[in-house]
Amino acid sequence: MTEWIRQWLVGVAAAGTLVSAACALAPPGAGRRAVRVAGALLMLLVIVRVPANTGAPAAGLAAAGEAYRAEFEDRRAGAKEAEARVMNDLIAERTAAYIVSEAGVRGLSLTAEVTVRAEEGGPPAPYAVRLRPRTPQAPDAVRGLEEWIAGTFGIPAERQNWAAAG
Amino acid sequence: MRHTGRAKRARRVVCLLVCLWAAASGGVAAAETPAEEAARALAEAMDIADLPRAVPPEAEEFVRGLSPETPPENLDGALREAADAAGRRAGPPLREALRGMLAVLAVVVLCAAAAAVQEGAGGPDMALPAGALAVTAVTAGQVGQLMAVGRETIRSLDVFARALLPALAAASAATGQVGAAAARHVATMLFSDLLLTLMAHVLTPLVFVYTALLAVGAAVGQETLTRLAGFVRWAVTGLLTLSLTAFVAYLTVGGALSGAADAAALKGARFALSGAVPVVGGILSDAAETVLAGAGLVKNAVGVFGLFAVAGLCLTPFLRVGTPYLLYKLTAAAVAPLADERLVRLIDGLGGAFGLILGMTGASALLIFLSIVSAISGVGVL
Repeated sequence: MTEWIRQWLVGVAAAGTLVSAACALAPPGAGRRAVRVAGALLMLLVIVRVPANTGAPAAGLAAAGEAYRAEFEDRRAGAKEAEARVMNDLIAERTAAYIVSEAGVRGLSLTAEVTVRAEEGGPPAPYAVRLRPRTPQAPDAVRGLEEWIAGTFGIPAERQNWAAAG
Repeated sequence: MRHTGRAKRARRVVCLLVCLWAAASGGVAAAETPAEEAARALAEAMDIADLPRAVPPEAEEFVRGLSPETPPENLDGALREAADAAGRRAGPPLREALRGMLAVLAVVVLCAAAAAVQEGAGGPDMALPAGALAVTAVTAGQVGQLMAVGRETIRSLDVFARALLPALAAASAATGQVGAAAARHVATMLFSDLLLTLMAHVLTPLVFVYTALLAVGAAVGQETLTRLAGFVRWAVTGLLTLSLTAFVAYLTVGGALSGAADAAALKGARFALSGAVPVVGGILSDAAETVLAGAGLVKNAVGVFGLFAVAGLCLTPFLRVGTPYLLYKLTAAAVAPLADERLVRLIDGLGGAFGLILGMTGASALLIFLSIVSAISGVGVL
């Protein structure tokens, strides 16, 4: 299409220059009038020229658009992985902080390490937790915390891993 | 017992005071906020640290002190440095343009003197055609040189945009504007390609055609040729305006449609999060907002970095092309009482040739500017 635009504009300019030169060179009187009429017809023909084929440029634009969209999706894929990683780290960190705080209320001193996983098509959620008490803990308090973790975060007892105190 | 109790309290107060003093004097390092941590992780994943390497040497001065990974801490300082750099670069283009203007003035004065002598002696008027050709000869070299400057600037802009825009699009998408970011990226790259092709194959040759028509029209006194030159100039300006208008329209409409879809998608995601048990839902929502906030920081940092880099890239070319454009217009006005009207219109028209080159370079820069501003100002749907 750009080639057609270029040819059209240069054609109009060239035809105008030719007509102008012809008019300047033509003898005054009937001769110049005839040259003017011929020149006007030539300009009209040049101006109303239609493009032979407008299909190819549209197809080219569509192909370029698809290529740029694919480039965007590539960059987006890398960013999405990073977003998921950051999100999982934040959820793990905050869940662990919540558990440690609740444990403190129950008289337990421990550290927690949470594993986060996303179900198919669902949001990420706490999946498992590794608990390391700092000192030996009362069994009732431990059972209470386990039930609380299961009820609050949906982490069943089999996915709560209690390490030895120390 | 009381002495022990008072001593303990005194020790606690001293410790507290020491801690407060250390914090106030910066002895305690400020911790990164969760959003800043998220921003750092996202920036690493998007390879944004490589962006400064894509900045052309002529724009490095403008982005000194800025980082594409973190929002600028001192934007006023960066603006002041940019203004100082602009001031330092204004001198050489002004001297170059003044030399051209003085040459044109000399031709006009000689032409007027020759015309006066010829009027007395009689015979065909040769002073005006000679003057027109002389003015064109003086200007043609400058037009060719500045056309090359414009082409090189447009090429540099294109190369930098291919590094900047994908990173900006990825950062925008991370703030929740997935559809809008994709539409903006595709539109900017497509229109940039279209403009480059248009300039290389259509507009650049037309500027030379325009200059030639003006010169011949002024030399032989053919009003038709001068009008044709006006038509060519109108065509170049019209094509540039049409391209930019179409781009802005696409950005506006595409952004509005995509923005609505993005908002709906984000609402759906929030609904999915809120379906979880209350405590977990609160943690998920908080984490998601932190990631979005971090992505917003990255997007703004990349956008501001890009704006300054594009400004630095365009400054010298704008000064080199814009200065003769203004000076030729000024010269045409200044010599109007002295020179023949055809010569005055020729000088004014030749200033227009510089204006066309400025327009083409400006259109390329504006395309990228608008895309960056659209990305930065797009509201993250939090």
